[in-house]
Amino acid sequence: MLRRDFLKATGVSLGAAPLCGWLPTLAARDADVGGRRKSCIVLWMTGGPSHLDTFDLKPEAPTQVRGEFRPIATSATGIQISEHFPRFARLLQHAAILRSMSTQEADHQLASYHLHTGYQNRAGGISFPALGAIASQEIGRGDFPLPNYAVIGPGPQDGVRAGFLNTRHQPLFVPDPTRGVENLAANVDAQRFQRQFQLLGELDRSFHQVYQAPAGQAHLATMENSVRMMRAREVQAFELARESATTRDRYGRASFGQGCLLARRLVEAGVSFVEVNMGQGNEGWDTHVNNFPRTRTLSAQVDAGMSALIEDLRDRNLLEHTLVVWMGEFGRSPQITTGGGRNHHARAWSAVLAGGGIRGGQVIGRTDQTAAAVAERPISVVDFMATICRILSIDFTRNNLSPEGRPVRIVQDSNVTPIRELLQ
Amino acid sequence: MRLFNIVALFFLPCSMANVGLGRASEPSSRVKAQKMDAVALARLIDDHIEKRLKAEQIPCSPRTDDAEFLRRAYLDIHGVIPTVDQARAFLENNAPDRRARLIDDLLGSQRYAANFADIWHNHLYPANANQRIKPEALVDWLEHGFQTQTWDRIVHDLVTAIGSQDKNGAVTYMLKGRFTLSVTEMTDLTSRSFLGVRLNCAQCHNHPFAAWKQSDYWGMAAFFTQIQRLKPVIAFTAIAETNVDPRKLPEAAMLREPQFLGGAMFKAGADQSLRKALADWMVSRDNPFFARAMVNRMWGHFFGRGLINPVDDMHDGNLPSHPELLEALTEQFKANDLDLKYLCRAISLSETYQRTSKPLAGNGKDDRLFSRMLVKVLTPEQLFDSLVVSTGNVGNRSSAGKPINNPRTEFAAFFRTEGEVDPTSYSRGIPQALRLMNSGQFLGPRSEAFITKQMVEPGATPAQAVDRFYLRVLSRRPNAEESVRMLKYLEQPGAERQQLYAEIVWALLNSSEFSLNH
Repeated sequence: MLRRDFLKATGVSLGAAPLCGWLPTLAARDADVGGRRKSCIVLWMTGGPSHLDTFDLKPEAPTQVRGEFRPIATSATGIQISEHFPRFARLLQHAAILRSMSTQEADHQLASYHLHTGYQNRAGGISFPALGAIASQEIGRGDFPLPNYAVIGPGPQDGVRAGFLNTRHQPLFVPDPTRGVENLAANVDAQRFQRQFQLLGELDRSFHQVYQAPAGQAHLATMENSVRMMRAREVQAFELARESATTRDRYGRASFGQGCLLARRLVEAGVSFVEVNMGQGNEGWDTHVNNFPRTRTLSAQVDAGMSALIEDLRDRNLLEHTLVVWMGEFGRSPQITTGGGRNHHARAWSAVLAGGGIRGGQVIGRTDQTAAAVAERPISVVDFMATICRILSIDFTRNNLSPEGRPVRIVQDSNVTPIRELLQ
Repeated sequence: MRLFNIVALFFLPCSMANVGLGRASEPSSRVKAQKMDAVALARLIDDHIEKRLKAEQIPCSPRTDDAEFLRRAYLDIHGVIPTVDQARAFLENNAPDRRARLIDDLLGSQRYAANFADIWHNHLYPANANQRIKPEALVDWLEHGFQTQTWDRIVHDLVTAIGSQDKNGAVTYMLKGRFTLSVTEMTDLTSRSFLGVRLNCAQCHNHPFAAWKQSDYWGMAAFFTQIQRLKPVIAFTAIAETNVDPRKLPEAAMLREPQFLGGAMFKAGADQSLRKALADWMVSRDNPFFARAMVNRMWGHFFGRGLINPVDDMHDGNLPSHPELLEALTEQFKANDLDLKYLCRAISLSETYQRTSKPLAGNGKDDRLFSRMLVKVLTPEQLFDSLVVSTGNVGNRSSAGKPINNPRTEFAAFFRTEGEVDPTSYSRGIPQALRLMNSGQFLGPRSEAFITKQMVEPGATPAQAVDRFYLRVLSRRPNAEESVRMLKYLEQPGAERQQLYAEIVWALLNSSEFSLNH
C-alpha cells in the first residue's frame, strides 16, 4: 500500500512495460494534432434518452413503437434524425451517429458507472476511474493550473470520479454553470492569505517530516493545487458573464445550454475533459411517462446547446481537436407504455460523436425494424471506450495499479475493437 | 479442491473450508476456546502481533504520548475530537489507569453508538439515494441498536426487517429511492457487509480467485426473492414479504433453490420466511463467516487496515496477515456473545493500538504488520463534527450569512467519495479544499472578532492564546519549537493581533494534522 500511496501522492503511474511497451505509449502522448492536445466534451443525457425519438427513428414501425416524431433530412446524404434537431441536422457532416450501442446494464446507477468507467460496478469492488480522470492523467498538462477534468450541471452521476488514480484527477464539480466555481475567493486580502498559507505549509512540512504519511502529503498537494487555481488567470474561463448576450442566447438559456458554453470556454482555456450533465429526476430523460412532450423539450435544449458548441468550436478551429460526445446511460424501449412513456433499454441504443478529427457524416451500425436489437455491428462498452481513447490519443492498453496492486488496463481486455470507420 | 470442500462440509460441520482460513484455523474451531476478558484479549493481540514482528525483524514504534492517544481514541470511538475541557481533563490526569478509564468512558457514552450508526449507515445505504425515503430512520435505528444490542441481534433484525419505515427504521436497508433494492443488490450488500465475502463477480461467472461459483451466488440470491414494496405506492417506504416478480430479475439471473453460502440447501415450507431462515443461519454460532467478518471489520476500523484487507473480501486468495490472531479474536467475540463494546475495548486497550504512528527507521515500510499505527483520513462526518467542536460554530450559515439546512448532511455529501474508501488514502479534491479554506462556514466572515470571542480568554497573553488554539484544534499543547514559531508570527509589523490570531487558527484548521487521525 505504501508503494501505491506514494505513486498516488506523487502522480506517477505505472505503464505495464512487459504488456504493452513504453515507446508506443510515449509516442501516443505526443501525438497531438497540430501541436495541440485533444480535448473531449461529453454531453451526458441523464436518465437515458429514447433513441427511437432522437437519432434512430423508425417511421415504418407499428404505431405502438413508432412514436410521434417525424424524421428530417440532414447535411449528410441519406441520414435522417428527429425533427426536433433542425440546427444540428445542418452540422451532421461533422458528426457520426452510432446506432448500435449494445450494453448490459439497464439500471441508471449501474449503467452510468459502466459507461463512465468501462467497468461494471459490483458492490465493493475496485473503485475504477472515470474516463475523464484517465484523460486528465493521460493527456492533461501536468502544469495546468485548473483541474483537467470538470463536470458541469446537476449530479454527479455514478462512476464520475478519479477512483484509484491520483486525487489531482478528481473531477471539479460545477453544479450551476452560471455561478462558476464556489469558494474561489479568499476571505482575507492577498497579503494575509499568502502569509497564512505559508504558515500552513510550514506546519504541514514539519508534520510530514515526523509522520511521513502519504495522506498528509496528498492533503498539502491538494491545498497547493487549489491555491494555484485561485491565483490563475485561467479561472476567468468560469465567468460566463464575459460572453455577449447574443452568444449566451445562441446556446439556450437553460442550464444545459449555459453548461455547453462553459464547456467551450474551459476547453479553450486548456481543460482536457469536460462533462455537461443534462437533467435530473423528473426533468431528465427518464421518460417512463409523457415521453413525447418531454423528449421534445429536451431535444430543443440539446439542439441549441450542442449546435452552438459545435459551431463555435468549428469557427475557432478547435473542432478538429475537440471530440464532442452525446450520450446517456442507455436507450429506451420500443414499446410505448400506457402512460405514453418508454422504459429502460440497454440492448440497442444510440450515441453521437462529433469533431475530434473523426470522419463525420456517417452512421455506424443498424438496429432491427423496431430498434429493439442490434442488427449490424454491435458496439460494446469497451469498444466505445477504446474508440474514444483512440480519438483522444490515449493508449487504452496501458495499465494503472489498483489499490491492491493489480494492474488494471485503461480499457478492459475483452476483445476490444475501436470503430475503425470513424478514424481517418 | 472444490469437490473436497463440499465433502468436507458434510463431515466437519465446523470446518472453515472455502473461507480462506488456511490450515491454522482448524484446531481452534474444533476446540472450544476459554472465555477471556478484554484485558486478557488485548494481551493476546499484542503477543500475536509482536511475535510476528520479531520473526520478521521489524521494530515496533513506541507507545504514543497521551495527546496522540486521546485524539485517536476520541476519533475512533466517538467520531469527533475532544473538547478543550475533555482534552484538558485527560492530559492533566496522572492516574496510571487513565487510558483504560478513558476507553470505558468513551464506550459508555451515547456518542459511541452514534458514531457506529454513522459508519454503518454509510456502508448500508448509498449516499445518492432518494431523500424522500428518510435515510435518518436507519441512522436512528442503528444508533439504538449499537447502544442496546449485540451484533447478531442487530443484523438479524436488519435482514428480516418488514413493515413500514416509520415503525421500523431497519426496512430502510432494503429501499432505494422509490424502489426496493434488487435481488442482486441485496445479495451483494448482505454478503459483503455481514459475511465479509464479495460474491459479486460470481453473479456472471465463476469467481476468478475465490472458489465461488455462479450457483453459490444464485443460491444466496434466492433468499432475497420475497422482498416487495407494500402498496399503496405513495408511501414508498414499507416492505412486505411477497415474491419478487421474476420479470424484474436481470436477464442473466439463474434463480434456483436457496442455498446457504458454502453450505446446505434450504427447503422452504409454503409460508416460511426465506429471510428469517437466512438470518438464523447467518448469526448462528457455527456460521463460519459472520463473527469473523465483524472482527476483521472492527480491526480495520481501529487500525486502518483489516487483518484481511480489503475488509470485506475474504477468500482463499486473500489470506489474513495474522490467521491465528483472527481466529482467536473471532472465538472470543463469540464467547462474549458478540458484544461489540467488548471487542472495541480489547482492541483499544492493546499496546498495538496505542503505538504511535511515527515510523522508526526500520518500520517505515511496514504497512501490514501493525508495527505502528497507520494514519487515517477523517471521514466527512468526523471532519464536520470536529470543525464544530474546534470553532464552537455549528456551521449552519454560509459565509454570505445564508442559512444552510441540515448542514451536517450537506457537508458530508459534499465531502463524500463515492464507494467504499480505504481509510488511509486521501481522496478530497479541489472543491473540498477550497471550501475548507475559503467558505467561512465555520470561522465566519468576520473571523477575527469571532475567534477572539470564542477562543481567547479575556486578558490572555499571546502564549496562552496560542496554547488554547492548539488545544482546541489539535487537542494537544504546542511543543517548545512551535510556541516560539507562533509567538514570532504574532510579532509581524503592521498587523493587528486579532488578525494574526485568526490566521493561526485558519492554518491549524487547514493543516494535515487536523484532517488526519494519526
